[in-house]
Amino acid sequence: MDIPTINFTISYLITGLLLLVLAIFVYNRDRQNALNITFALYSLSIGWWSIFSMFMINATSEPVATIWDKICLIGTMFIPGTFFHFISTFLGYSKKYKSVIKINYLISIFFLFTIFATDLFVATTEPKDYIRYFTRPGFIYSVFVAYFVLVSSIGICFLFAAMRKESTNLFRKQQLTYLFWTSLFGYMGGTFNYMLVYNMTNSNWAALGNYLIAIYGVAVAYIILRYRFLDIEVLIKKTLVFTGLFSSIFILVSLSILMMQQLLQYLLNKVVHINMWISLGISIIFMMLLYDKLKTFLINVTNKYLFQKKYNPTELIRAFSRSILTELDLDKIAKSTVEKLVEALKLTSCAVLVPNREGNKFVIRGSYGISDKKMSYERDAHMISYLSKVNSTLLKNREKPLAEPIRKDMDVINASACFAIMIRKQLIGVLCLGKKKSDEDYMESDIDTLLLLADALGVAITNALAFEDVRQKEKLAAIGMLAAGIKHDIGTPINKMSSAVQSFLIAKDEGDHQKMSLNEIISEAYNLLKRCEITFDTVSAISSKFADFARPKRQAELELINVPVSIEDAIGVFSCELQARNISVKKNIQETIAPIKADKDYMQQILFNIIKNAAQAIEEAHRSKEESVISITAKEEPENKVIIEISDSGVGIPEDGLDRIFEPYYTTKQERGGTGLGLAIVKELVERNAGRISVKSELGKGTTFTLEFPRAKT
Amino acid sequence: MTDKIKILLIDDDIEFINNFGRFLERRGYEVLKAGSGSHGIEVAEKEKPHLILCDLIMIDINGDEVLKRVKVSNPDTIFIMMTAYVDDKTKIKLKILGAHSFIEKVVKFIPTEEYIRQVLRENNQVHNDNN
Repeated sequence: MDIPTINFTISYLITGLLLLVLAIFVYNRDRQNALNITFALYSLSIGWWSIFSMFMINATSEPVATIWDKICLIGTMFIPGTFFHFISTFLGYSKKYKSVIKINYLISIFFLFTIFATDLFVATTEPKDYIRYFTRPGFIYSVFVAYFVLVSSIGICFLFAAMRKESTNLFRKQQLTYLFWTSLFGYMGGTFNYMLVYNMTNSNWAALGNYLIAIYGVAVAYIILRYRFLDIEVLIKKTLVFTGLFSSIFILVSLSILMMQQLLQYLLNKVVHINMWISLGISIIFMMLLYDKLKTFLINVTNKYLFQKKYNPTELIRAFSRSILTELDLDKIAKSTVEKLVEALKLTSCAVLVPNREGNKFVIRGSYGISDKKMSYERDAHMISYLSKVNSTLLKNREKPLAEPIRKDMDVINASACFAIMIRKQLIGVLCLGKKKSDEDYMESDIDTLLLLADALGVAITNALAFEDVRQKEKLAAIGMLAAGIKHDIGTPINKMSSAVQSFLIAKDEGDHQKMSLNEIISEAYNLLKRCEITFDTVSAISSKFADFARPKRQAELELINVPVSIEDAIGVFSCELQARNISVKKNIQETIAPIKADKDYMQQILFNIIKNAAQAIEEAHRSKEESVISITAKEEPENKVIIEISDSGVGIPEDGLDRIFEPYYTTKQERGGTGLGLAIVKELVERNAGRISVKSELGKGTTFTLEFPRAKT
Repeated sequence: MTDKIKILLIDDDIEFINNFGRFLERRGYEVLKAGSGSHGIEVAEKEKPHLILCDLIMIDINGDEVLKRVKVSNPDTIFIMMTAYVDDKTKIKLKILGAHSFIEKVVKFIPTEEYIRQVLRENNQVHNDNN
């Protein structure tokens, strides 16, 4: 076979099989629906024509080719009639044009009669271009072509008119527009075949025309099954993948046959003509060995582009719950949700929206495939208020179109479906899902699963927000403990200054100043005021240090943290308290430690909590002043790790308590009124900063907490 | 005069004890000053003051430790603790150790002097004000 014939053959084979499969598929989807039936008939006619055309061009002799041609024309005869029937049904004209439809079928039967009863339609076949056998048109053939063009044009004109007329339903208008254009291109593709009949083009163009017909078939089938249209991009992608799959299988089979023939000839060491069927059998065995790999590959490719992979909803919910419900970090919850959904549903985009700190806007906390991550919705945006007040789901591409403003809101975030995340009738988040990569719609089963996930997400988000509150409360409780220290730190400089001021005032009251010149008095007063000014700055700096620590914060802000400075700050907040408890701090801090990437506030709370625990443990052990020591070491280790070790000489933790020490509500110091959340919070915060925490302890000797953080990439 | 009341001020804030000390001297007291806890213990043992005003939190030895040591050498000395803030638990602990009372920092000279005089009177120590 020569290349043009192979090319032409493949185009017929693909188009033919595709349309036959579509006919069966569409018919099976709804056997009662006139639209499905008429399309199936239409598609069957084209498929028939395509398959038998293939047989014709590959026939072994001229008479055989002619027989194939006549069989092929059976399908062709019904293309105009079924097309008109299908278009009439689609446009709702089938009652009005009932007789026209019937006449069309009668005309088809009449032509069919002429094919087999006379030689006026086709008598013989003849070579065209490189093709050995192709239709040689008789007189009636030309009449039929004229009839074909007429009916097809009428059908397409009907579509055009309906498209222009439709103005109220934008969705329907879009549907008609697509159908009009795809029909036009499909028929243009078909025209190449007639041009080849009349020697007006070559077979390569005709092959290209066949592919246009195939694309047209897929597009129309999609319209019927989904009540909407495929993106032209997705349409071409799907057709190409199908074609690619088909060709690869075809090439694989041919190659294996060829190879087997060569191999057998080589093995038998003589030129033998091996029976084609034997080598085919052997190559089938060969392919069966490769079957699994080939199947996985084909499934993967088709899953990605052709059909959505069937995910297991139970499995998805389980995996989702496992990772989301135990998580306390809102960002991780959002990120993980997006990842899981994109993976399971093969989404082009996805986002989780939650209210911002002020609560007036919904902002993106986790997203995929969305370019503008900083975008936000006002609380009264159409989409948001619809979700919170009207319905907890929003779906585009349903038969009933959404109100325009809501659609616009959804377009901003590329959403095809939005789900409200509600807790106690309050909207606490929105789950926005983009189109599936396969471009399929969200099915009822998807929606059921997603509603369940939205509920779980609601619980997770609530937990995460509650954790933030608890963290804040724990911090404030710790600050309460610092009250003495704060008062001392602020009281000391004020007391000093006040003593100087009182001395001056009392001296004045008691007449001491009479011995001094006015200039001397002014100069003394000036110096005093100047020192007051400095004292104000000192006191203000101290109070901001504590205020900084107490400041509530909702969202982590990662920044480069200088570890030595961070440790000094934490000790600084604590210094007076430690002094009052006679505890000294021994520092061994490598000043050259590389910065780590962490949230400053979290870091402060981590260090503060551990130092606080150390101080309490030492106090409980009733150590002498010399033995009351907290040692803090910080160093950088070779594998880009920053290690902070905080050891105390306190009571230590019993072994059975060591495993539980980071559990919430586990506490050994009830009498002190600890919340039992301190170390649980510390662990969570360390992990949020990509760090690890571990503890070693010897009962009666002391405890060491080790923090490990990755150094920031520079 | 030998019957002057002896007051020992212990605080690591030297400026404060100088200012307050000068004020008390003008009111006729004999004022002893110590800039650290350990120095305070030494002076107390040697000079046997009638009354000690001591800061609670100091760099070397804290006030509670000073109190413990002073109560051993001179149990009759009236020991008043000065502090910016003291919680009830610490207060009870210090009372048990023998602290007479607490003065809140920032120390106001005139009311504090009046308070000291009152405490002395209650403890049958008469201060002869030469003003």
